[in-house]
Amino acid sequence: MELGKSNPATRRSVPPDLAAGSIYQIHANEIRASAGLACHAEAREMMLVIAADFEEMAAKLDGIFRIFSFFDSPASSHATYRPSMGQAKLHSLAKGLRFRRTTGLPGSSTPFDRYYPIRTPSGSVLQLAQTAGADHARVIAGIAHSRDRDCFRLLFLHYTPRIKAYLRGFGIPPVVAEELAQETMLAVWAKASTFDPNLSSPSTWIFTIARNICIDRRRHANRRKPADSYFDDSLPVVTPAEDWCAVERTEKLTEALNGLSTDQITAIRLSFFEQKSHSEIAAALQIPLGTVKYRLRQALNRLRAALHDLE
Amino acid sequence: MNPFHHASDEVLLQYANGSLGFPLSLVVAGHLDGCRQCRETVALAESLGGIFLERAARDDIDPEALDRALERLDALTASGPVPTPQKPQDPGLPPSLRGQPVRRRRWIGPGMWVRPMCKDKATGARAYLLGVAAGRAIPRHGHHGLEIGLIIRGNFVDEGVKYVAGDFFEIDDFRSHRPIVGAEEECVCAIGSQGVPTGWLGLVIRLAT
Repeated sequence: MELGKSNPATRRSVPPDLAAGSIYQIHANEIRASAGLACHAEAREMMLVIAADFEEMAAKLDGIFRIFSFFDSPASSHATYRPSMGQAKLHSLAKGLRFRRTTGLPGSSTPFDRYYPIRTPSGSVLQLAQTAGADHARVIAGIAHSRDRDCFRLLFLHYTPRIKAYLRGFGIPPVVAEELAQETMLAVWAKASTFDPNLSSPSTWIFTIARNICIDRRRHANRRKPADSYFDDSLPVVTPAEDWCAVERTEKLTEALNGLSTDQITAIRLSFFEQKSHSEIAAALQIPLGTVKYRLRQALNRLRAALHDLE
Repeated sequence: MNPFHHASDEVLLQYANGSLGFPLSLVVAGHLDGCRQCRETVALAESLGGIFLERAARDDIDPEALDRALERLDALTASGPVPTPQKPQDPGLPPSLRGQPVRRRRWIGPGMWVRPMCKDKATGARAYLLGVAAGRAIPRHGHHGLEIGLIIRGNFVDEGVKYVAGDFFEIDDFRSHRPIVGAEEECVCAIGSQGVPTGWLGLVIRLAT
């Protein structure tokens, strides 16, 4: 995931006058987390400087918006967060703090050098900070081939909070959700060698692992599974055909998803992601059951059509 | 050859997001083995799952969670990859069902048997193989909750619609039916149900599975 586009959900749910500040705070946290992963002391230091800068920015913006909202000025609505702001800010920072590759630098065999071409002369702090989402397929390969703990750290920090939030959406209590999220990441470690980037995107693969762990947990509600059972897969990741190209499909699907109407997305979200039945959705949205079914069918057909264009 | 009768989108989405539960998912997986169309839908839903996971808001996690996970990695690494135990293989079943232990045959009526596969104690959902002799009719019955099935071999006619091997059927609450097995051969289905059928048939199935 690109930093500048991070978290549309957060952006939407936060009132506009707070959005800018909190988005900067999120960036700061993300960069701080990435800094923890940096192998070079120098890189870490620079990233912490950037994170601090973002935090300062967040505090300033919060202050400004508080004053605006005090006067109830329309300016607050003009100055809401735009995704490009974070990106631009990052770029300018990155430009100023570009890494120079020096021959004397230790650690040329560190995991980051192996999986990320970040210390080439053109590499920037931005790339380092963007470790999240950029190339998780290669990170998983790093785990599979050399049992690389830094790779695991990176995946863990990126996915665990998301899986937890995701599972809580199903109505799973936070404590259990966190435990299941952790189990998911351990399973990722154990099964990394079975991941095939052509068949599924990293996030889809991790999603199905989380799903299977949930199913297993429900099956053995009172029994704790021993660690070695991670190898025992209950349901496979489904790939429809040999000509399946995960990267292309994910792109098409994301595009099609963005083109759906709010009603359609709501129907998909409630049915698929909050595991509500059609009649529950009808009750929640106060619309007839037939309308729910129609919207879902319409949404699915549009997504299907987007994928058919590929063939 | 693609089957004629498919799983509904609702069931496929429930399969993909894990809310269908294991016993019913097993039956769906058996159908997916032979049905490209339904695989497309499930793959679509799983990709959506990945996209939404990536977009999900991030919860706070325990700051020590990473350290704890790293500690547990040592245990995982130390024990090394454990070979998957050799599972019973039944060549007559779709690949997804082959790994599943199937218990021995129990007769539940004239020309009718079940072989239990698995049961979810918490929800009461179960999966089993059901065999009915050629030319026989299953007594008219209704259902508690959703029942799904995959025809493994043979065929039957239900309410004037013919189902053959590879086909998938879904019956919801309270709809009653009386499937009649074709005269040529015995019909074997994999059944997944949230509850058991109504009437005496349900009673014997509950006892046998």
